[in-house]
Amino acid sequence: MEGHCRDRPGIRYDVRGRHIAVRNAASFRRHPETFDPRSIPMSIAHAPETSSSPALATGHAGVPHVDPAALSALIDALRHAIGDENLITHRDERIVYECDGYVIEKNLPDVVVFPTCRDHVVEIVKLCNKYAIPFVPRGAGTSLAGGTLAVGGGVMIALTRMKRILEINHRDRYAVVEPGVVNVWLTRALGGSGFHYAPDPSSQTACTIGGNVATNSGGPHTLKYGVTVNHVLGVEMVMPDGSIVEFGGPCEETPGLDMTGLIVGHEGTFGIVTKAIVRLTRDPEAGRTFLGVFDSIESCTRTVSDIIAAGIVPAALEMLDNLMIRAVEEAFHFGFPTDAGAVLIIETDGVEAGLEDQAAAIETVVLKNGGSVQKKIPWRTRKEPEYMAIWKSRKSAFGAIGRLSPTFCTQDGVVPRTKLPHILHFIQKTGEKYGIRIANVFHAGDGNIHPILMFDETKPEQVKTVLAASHEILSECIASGGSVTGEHGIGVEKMEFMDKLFSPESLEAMASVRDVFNPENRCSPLKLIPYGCGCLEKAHPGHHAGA
Amino acid sequence: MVPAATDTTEPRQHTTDTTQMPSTEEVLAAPSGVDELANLVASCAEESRAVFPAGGATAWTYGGIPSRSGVRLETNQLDKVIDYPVDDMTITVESGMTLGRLQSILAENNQYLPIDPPNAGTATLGGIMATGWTGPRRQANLKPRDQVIGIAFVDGLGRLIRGGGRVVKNVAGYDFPKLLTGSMGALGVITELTFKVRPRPESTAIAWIGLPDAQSLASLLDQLNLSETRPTAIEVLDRTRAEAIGKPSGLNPSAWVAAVGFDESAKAVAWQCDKIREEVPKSSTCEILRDDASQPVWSALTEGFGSDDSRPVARVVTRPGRVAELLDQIDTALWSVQAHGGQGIVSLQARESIACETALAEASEWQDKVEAWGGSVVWPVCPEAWKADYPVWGKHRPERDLMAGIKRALDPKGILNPGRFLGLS
Repeated sequence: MEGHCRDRPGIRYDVRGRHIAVRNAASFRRHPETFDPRSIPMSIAHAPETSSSPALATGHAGVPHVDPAALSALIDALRHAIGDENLITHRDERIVYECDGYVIEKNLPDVVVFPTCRDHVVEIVKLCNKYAIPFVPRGAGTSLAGGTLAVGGGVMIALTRMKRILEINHRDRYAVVEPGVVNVWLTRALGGSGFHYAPDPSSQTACTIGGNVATNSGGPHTLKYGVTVNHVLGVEMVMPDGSIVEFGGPCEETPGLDMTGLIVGHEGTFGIVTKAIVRLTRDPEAGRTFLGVFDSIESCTRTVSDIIAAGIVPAALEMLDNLMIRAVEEAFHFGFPTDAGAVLIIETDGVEAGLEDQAAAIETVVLKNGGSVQKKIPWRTRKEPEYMAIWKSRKSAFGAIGRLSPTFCTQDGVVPRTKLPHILHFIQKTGEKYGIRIANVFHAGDGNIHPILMFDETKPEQVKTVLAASHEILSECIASGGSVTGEHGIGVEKMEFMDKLFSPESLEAMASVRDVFNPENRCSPLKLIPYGCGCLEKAHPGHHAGA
Repeated sequence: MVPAATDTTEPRQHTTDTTQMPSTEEVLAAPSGVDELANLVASCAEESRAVFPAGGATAWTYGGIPSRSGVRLETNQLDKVIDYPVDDMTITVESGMTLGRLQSILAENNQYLPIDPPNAGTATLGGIMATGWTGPRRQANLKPRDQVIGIAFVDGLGRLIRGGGRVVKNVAGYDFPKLLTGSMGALGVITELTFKVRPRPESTAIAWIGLPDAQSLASLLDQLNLSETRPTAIEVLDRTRAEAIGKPSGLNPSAWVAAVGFDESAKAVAWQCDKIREEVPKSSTCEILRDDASQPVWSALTEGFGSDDSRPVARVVTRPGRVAELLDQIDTALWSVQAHGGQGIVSLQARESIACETALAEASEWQDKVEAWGGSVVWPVCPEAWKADYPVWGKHRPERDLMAGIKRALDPKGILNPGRFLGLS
């Protein structure tokens, strides 16, 4: 069962090659796009209590120290403040929260709390400050870079019980949601109204809007409609000192700095978002969704580049390679040709009157590159059965990978769109070099790759190999003029790349902006910006959040 | 050391009389490169000397009164294309390039940047991003910050800082491109920008819809919210404004006019023009201008009210569904109206010179109403004499302390545009 936890000791290594223990081998299979935290029984058969987990990356400069006496007092205070039913402390229950979709580094939070309202969040944060214990917010844990990892332990604030859609206002084109609202719930609530919330990550049946705001999530349709930040009008945030601040609002703009634009993508390092005001977008009048089929990855990626270069802005442009096609077809029987080198899901939308010409232009590009269009799905609403089937196949692709390999690691890199043929070739060569099978399913139109590296987690040397291969692929993304993350964030996994993307001055500037919100760095410590860039860290190099 | 004075290589054309802001002109500097610019800001930081960045100076009088004198730092010489991978549909340029020049470079490849503020011929990209100003096509294109994917700026210590990158999707690091957009040069001097660009639409049109009263305007705006068409602009004009904009093109004014724009393929535009004729209320009139015939109207809508200080402009932001209700309350004998009707952004220009007290008494009525709806009132254009007593940026919001903190983080000595933005020094 996906996400079901069982104890199986093993060995694994963190990204820096250090030896760390594997406790939850099954969770390697857990992929964000299929993993549904609600599927996990809240009460797992209790294993005998053992000593606390080896702290992740112990020895990292700045890893917070959690004082056991303060922690014990804090837990008592939390129990009193939010109720026993909204808190878990037993190790076996906490195991679910030891990582997100990035399963290679793990650490148990000392306590997991489930606030049901903003006032709970305020109470929790104030208590964490009182006892000097670090805290980290978490949505559904579907991201891929360890953004919700409880580095050094402390309190994990799981926002999944703050799950109300508070308001939908079609006339003023906004909705107000709590952070734990699952992305697709809003889509469903808006169904038939003529409006939708545009960001639709592939994990939308599990991921929360609070998490989307934290990582500035994308999804297949961001090619035309933009990512999360383009659709957030305002947020309410509980600041790391427990105060409440509203940024932006239901109107198009507010005077002053674009704080909302800055906050989206903060990866939990500015505070805890307790409410989001999101923009509603008018549904397209009509659309066409095609399945382009190609002999090779090269002809498929060339087609992507040529469609963009031809001045066509499709609504989505998603690529699957042969490994993925076979896995998806076996799982969903959509009718993908299993002998194809690669397929491209191409979607264009707008007013019906303009679509035929666009469709013809797209087909011309596909044919020119030696491909063929094997399915054409004209649609007026996104409820057409064939439309739903093709997108279900695409969005559930990661789930189908389980048929190919028990464990896998998904990467999230970006290259300029014209560099797609190059990076796909590089990925293939890297797989051959390391003897790893790599499948590809990704947002081709944005140049946002998601290579899936398959391995056997019981073989420690394979874990090391996968990490090395991932590192090479991401480095090549940078060398190609791209980035190491398109939609999942830096988290803990990719901090080592930050100084390759940004100068020390730029990182210092980012740290100084973070320190305005989070001066003690007690909220989501050791995320996004490498340790040592912030003022506090410079002034007190030995400072520990709990010291 | 800060130079005593540096001549710019080309004559400048400013739309505003800069002698009104003497304190910002103590010294003139026009660095020819980013390093020179950064060194200059660093020197100013050491000497705690104020820096007033200027691009095309089309917004030179925008904002509060400078709190001290300093160096006018011109970016016009930073006007190079750094990278234009045409097929990736992105472009990286220096910030002193004008929007007009960028658009002509992009047009060679049938592309454009979907940002349409006024004064495209003189306004620089750095200045446009610093003000965050937009035009009528914001209905479809969102804000300028939604088009920028990478930025470089020199902060108040003279450090060159970068955010974002050159790819269309990228979440590495904090979103400095968005933080800097609309920051009025108070956080840094923008030196480089990377944009995502779009293919130029094949065709364009404006449906000029005349309405007899505010009630029928309200019905039309409700209708447009659910229209089968997908307008790229919904500009609402009162009779005076409609006359000024429509008359040269032979269009009829009415009590209220909604100028509804479309930009797409020729077939899609034609269909939408037919459709909107069917959708408009019976009491209204509808005239259509296609392609070249629509350009003068597009231009006039884009240029907006200009910056004649003697005729103040209030920018009132409200909810889209409340625009007609707000406009019904406006005394159009005193105020001309141009609003982005689909987005609740209403600009009001005094029809003639007006006393501060009169304007503020009028505004207090709208202010209470729009603030209750989550909106705001600011004064982008007003006589300098008003600025000492009246908060041109509107009421302080709760997050202002954090904004001040960010200002201190990036400009600890408070040298960048002191006093002009939110009273931050």
